[in-house]
Amino acid sequence: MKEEVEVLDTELRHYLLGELSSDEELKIEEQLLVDDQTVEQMMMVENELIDDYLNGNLPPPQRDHYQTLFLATREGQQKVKAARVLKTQLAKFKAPEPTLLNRLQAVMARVFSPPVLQAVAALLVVGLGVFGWQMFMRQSEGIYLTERPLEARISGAPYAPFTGASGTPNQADTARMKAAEKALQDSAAARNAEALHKLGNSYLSTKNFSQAVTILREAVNLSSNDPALHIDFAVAFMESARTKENIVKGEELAESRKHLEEALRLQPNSPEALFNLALLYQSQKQWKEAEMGWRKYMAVDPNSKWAKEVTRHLDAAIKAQNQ
Amino acid sequence: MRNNWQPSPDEFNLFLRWLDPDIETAALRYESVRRNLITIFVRRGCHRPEDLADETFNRVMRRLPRMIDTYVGEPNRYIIVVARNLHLEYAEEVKFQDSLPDHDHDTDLSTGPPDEDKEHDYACLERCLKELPAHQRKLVVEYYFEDRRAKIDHRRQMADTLGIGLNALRIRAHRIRAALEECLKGCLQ
Repeated sequence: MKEEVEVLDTELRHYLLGELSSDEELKIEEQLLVDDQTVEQMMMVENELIDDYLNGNLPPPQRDHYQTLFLATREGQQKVKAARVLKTQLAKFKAPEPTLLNRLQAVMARVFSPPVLQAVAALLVVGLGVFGWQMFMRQSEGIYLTERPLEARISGAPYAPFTGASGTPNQADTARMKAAEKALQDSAAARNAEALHKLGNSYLSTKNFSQAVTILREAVNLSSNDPALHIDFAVAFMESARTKENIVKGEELAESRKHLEEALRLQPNSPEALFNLALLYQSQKQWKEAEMGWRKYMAVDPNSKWAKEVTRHLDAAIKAQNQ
Repeated sequence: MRNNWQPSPDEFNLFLRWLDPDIETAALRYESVRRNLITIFVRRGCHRPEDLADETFNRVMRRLPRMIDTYVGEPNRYIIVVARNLHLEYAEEVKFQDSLPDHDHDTDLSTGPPDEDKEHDYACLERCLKELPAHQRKLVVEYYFEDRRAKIDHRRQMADTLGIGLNALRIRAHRIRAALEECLKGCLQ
């Protein structure tokens, strides 16, 4: 049953994108004409297609085709409009689940009820958090200067080679990370974009991508014009996608690309954004785009240690196209 | 493309009887096939889907007296073939009109509205959500909650909690979304 649904889903998706042969199309339409269940299933597939369209997950040929067909009709446009509202506004109606940070914030609000005291307290915890993070970075310099944890570039991080080894930190490192994260969690309780950014990056460094996505999403919402935030949010999606399959993977990679493009809109020559975007293309085996991305990077940063790594990637992208 | 031919009462009755010998069942089938024809024409990008559905029926009714005794097969096969031919004519007509200026197929619908519209969008959604029963409101918000990384696991968890399968959950969410979209259409205009 589940398989039948999936097979029909796939056929209906191809049908809506105009990708079926004339005979296949006739067969589907004959079914649509008399079977209301198939019509309903098509509407569900259509909603998913519209969501993909709005999330930028349709490749250009499919996107253009769909846009000139169904989406050009009044009904199609109304559906897109409604779907966009659901996509952008629905999350605001979700009942928030109390997190550790929320509870901490609530405790602080009770202890420091007058507004001035709350502000002083917030400053204090932000200060402590930043101090904790700096201590953590200083202490962990040994790890990160010899090997970086992710292939993508985290904003502001110095160069260190990436070997792809799992790089499990030792017990002392883990304890230090936990202490730093704790300090950052405390400071992030003030819901300050900078503190959240640092906390998100600490999750990135420790490969806790789902937490990184959650925290960095909140930071981006608070400070949407900070290119570094978009870069790190994109890294979180890119790395998270490595562990996912099919649709979810595609969605996360599309999110990643969207935020890298936004970072480049805000800071057109950002080496980190250029590096990560080229890496994203490379990971999707879009070699031509990857080649162009690496070349753009070299135009901006031709002499650093990063550039040597980029040269290797560029050679690989060119080689892959010639195979 | 569209001609002015209209069926006589006899021709219309013959068509209904061809759809089903029982007149009441035939009438229901007529409505259902018409609705689904409109759906198909909309998905094919047609701007006058109701007219095209009616014209499909007219063409079938016009030919029916001549072919009813010899035609072998389900009526829906014949109807859909006529509809597809009609769509080809429509596409030719539109291709001609498309070469005229002031047609804008290149508008990117995926970009969002300006900020001032977002408050209105929010207000509309809030109003439409309030029209739903609480359990439906909860389900639709949970189901479409924008948190991709955990979406699949989350939906599985929802289905388990409700004691239904994933596909049943999908259908349930879709029906609520359809009602929500219907309300939004009116409010967003």
